[in-house]
Amino acid sequence: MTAVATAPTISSSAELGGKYLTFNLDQEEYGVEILKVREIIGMMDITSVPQMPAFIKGVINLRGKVIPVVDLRLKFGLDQAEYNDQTCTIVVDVGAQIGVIVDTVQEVLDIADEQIEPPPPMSGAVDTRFILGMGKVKDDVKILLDIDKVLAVEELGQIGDSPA
Amino acid sequence: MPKLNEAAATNLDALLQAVNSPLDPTDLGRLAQLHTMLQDVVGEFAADSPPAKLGAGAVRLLEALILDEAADAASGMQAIPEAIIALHKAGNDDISACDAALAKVTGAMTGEVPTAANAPAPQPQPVTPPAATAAKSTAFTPEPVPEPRLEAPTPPAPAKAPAPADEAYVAEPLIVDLNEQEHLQGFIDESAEHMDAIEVALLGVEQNPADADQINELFRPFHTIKGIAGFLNLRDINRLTHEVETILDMARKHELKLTAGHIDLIFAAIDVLKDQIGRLAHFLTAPTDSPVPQPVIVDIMARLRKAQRGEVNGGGRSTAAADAPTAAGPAPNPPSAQTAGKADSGAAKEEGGDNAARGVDNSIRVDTRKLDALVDAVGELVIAQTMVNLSERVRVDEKLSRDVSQVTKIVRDIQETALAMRMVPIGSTFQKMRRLVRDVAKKAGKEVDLQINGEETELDKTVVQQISDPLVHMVRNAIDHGLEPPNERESGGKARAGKVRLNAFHQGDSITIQIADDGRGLDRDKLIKKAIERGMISPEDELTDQQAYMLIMGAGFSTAEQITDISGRGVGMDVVRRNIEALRGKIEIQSNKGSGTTFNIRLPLTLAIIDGMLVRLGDQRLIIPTISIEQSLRPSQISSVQRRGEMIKVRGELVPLIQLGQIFGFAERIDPCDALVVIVQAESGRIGVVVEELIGQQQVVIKTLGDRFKSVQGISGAAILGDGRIGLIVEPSGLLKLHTQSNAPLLSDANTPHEKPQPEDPQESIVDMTLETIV
Repeated sequence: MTAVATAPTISSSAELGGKYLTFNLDQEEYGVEILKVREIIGMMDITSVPQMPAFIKGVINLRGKVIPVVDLRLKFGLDQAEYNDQTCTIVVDVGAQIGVIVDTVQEVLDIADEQIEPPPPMSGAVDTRFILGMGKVKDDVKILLDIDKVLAVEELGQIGDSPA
Repeated sequence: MPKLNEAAATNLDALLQAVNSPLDPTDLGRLAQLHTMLQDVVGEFAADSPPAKLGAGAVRLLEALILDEAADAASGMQAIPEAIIALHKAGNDDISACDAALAKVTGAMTGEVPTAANAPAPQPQPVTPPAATAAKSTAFTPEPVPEPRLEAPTPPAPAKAPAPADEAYVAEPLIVDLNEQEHLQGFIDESAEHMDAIEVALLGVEQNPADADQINELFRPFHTIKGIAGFLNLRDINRLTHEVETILDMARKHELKLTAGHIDLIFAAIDVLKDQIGRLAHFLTAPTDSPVPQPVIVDIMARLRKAQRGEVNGGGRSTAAADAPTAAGPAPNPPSAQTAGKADSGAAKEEGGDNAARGVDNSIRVDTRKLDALVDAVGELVIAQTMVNLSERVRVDEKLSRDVSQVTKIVRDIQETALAMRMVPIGSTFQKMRRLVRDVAKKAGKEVDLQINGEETELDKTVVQQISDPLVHMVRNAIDHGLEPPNERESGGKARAGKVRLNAFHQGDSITIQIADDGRGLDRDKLIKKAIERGMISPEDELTDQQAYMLIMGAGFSTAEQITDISGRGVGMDVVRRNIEALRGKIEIQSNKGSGTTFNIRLPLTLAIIDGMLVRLGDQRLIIPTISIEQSLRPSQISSVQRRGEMIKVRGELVPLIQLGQIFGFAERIDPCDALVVIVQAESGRIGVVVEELIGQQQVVIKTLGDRFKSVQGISGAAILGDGRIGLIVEPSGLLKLHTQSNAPLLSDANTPHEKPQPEDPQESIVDMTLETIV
């Protein structure tokens, strides 16, 4: 990472280093700050809620709490996958608890500041708002998500007012 | 010395109990409690008698101890119990110990051997050692000594003139210590309760200004607020309450006779006090370093002080209570005899009970979030318990089965207790109405006799809080619109004073709050005429009485011919209705022209739990609140409009059908004749909800869906079902809205064996349609 490369995103790198929970989504690898993660659970019965965009699968009963679950594949416009025994729900705390469905959970990685760089320019179809940075671990690249933004109320509500 | 009345004797016993263990100078709560109790007792002894002096001295010593201003705190801690023991003896006609005890009290106060046995009485005129005067003035002055700014201009004053009354009020910005936020919040919460008590007591005093018990009831909360405000350095609040307290103190010593003017002034002071506390509360929601905004109290302070001086004997409070001229004032109603007589009845028991309650406070303040968390956890426990119950091994093993059912019973009990913890009596909300009734009646020129029943009825705290505003509206309306003016009532053969009754009682699993008046009643024809004028209904509409009365709950409807500043703008009742519906309640109106109107508000016992009908659609289960269900039926005939809207006829009325599965996107349309239709009352009419199966009725704990599902219509929340899965709770009014917005797909020929009814006269077509039925 060179000084030139970091220049455009002043606010990023400095605080980004830390532990990330990594997971897979359609052959890509993502990471989410471990501090946001509450727990990882297997798939549970989901009760769908009407008038919600497809990526909001519904609500689950997490030990007496009713929390929404979001299919991250659908949220990112990827193809829906069959849920199997590898499929996990990561419960994150973004003010409220929300379950995030991912293909498989990998591991917790310590990614240092200098391993993280801002996302390179990409096709306009890629939503870079949600990306904190790109973590380079050995030969792999982990896409570090700003999970607060992904699951913000506006993000989830926007498409939600479609009539039934 | 006259024998003490029972109430005073009980007080003395309680006091003696309270000092049977050594006092701790840091236990301010206990000291404050003693202080309050002692103050009640002092007034019971004849003025200037040794026990009265001793009591007054002990009260001041306690004040000084609390404020850490007593010269010799250690001996003070011993002098107080001694004083109380002496007082107790005096209560039994033995005043021998009083003088010695008083000497100790004074000694502890001043730190020196007292020069005279006569301790400083509440009036400053007795000769007292200078040091005692200083200590006294600090205890009595709203501004404690450590505040030099205010104290500076007036230090010599206390010796000569009644200090608090003459000390000029100087407005100062209020800066609170943010480290004390928690205390301040506690003060605000507590004051709210005291405010309620104050208003109730003040209304009692207004009824019977010479009743010393009532004045004491009123004095106590003021005194507590004053005390805490002093601790927390809330100067204005402290000063204002001090002035009121002074008036009350004079009144209960019969130095001053409370007049209607005094009562009004105290009401005004209460409003200012509420404003002060309200602004402080508001400030604490977003605390900053800047001063807390406070109302200007110069005016009210001046009026209170004028009342203290102007209304009494010209000479002010320095005139001794025992002096002949003063005594002449209250003489016509000999107070002690009267109070004693009265105290013998219910008041005495109340007083005693009150003291007992103060001795052993058996309630604690708990954050409602903690309660909610407990209710949630217990709900989980119940579900987990159900799962255990269903397990195979439990069924096989008899011993295990017995044990499990024992656990089940305990879990039930816990659940009930957890839910009961959120319940509070509605009494305080009703009591608040007393003040309102007084004010509104005065403004509207009516005479009102308010009767309150069912105060002990318990409701969910949230409901109690939220029912307050609607009640205010309805009580106001009952007085302003419902009751006739006194003269009109008289000529109509009724008592001049109109009756307004508030009642609350349990009825099945709901609670009913009743607001009834014996006024002119609702005029059905006038209501209908007005509604037609406003275009709310058409002249052809046939309304039942209930429907006609409910018109007044519609938006923009007002029947008062004259709009007053109390009510009559037609914005009240529809807000009332919406508030009550938000609490999942219902309003019913009964009325007889000429003899009054009764509003029945039916509310669920708790907001946390509802009775619901569990229904199935495909593999989804939903809950329809039982309160809105009218009936369920398997229709034999349905009709459609433009091959889209379906409807059925229920008791002669057309009811639109809503395909629940379809509208929520869970399932395809199902033929209503193969399914069940649940007739549900929505805000703007009845709807028929088509479901596949009724599973059964059950109580469910409501969970909100949270911010992310705010936009969802027709669903009010979720509940966790017996098997741990989630069922969504249907909200009928939202469902109907959703239905009218939706684009129902054309019915295919296969599932529409009906003909289109004639649009000109749908009623007729329906009758024809009966031939086209599927079974």
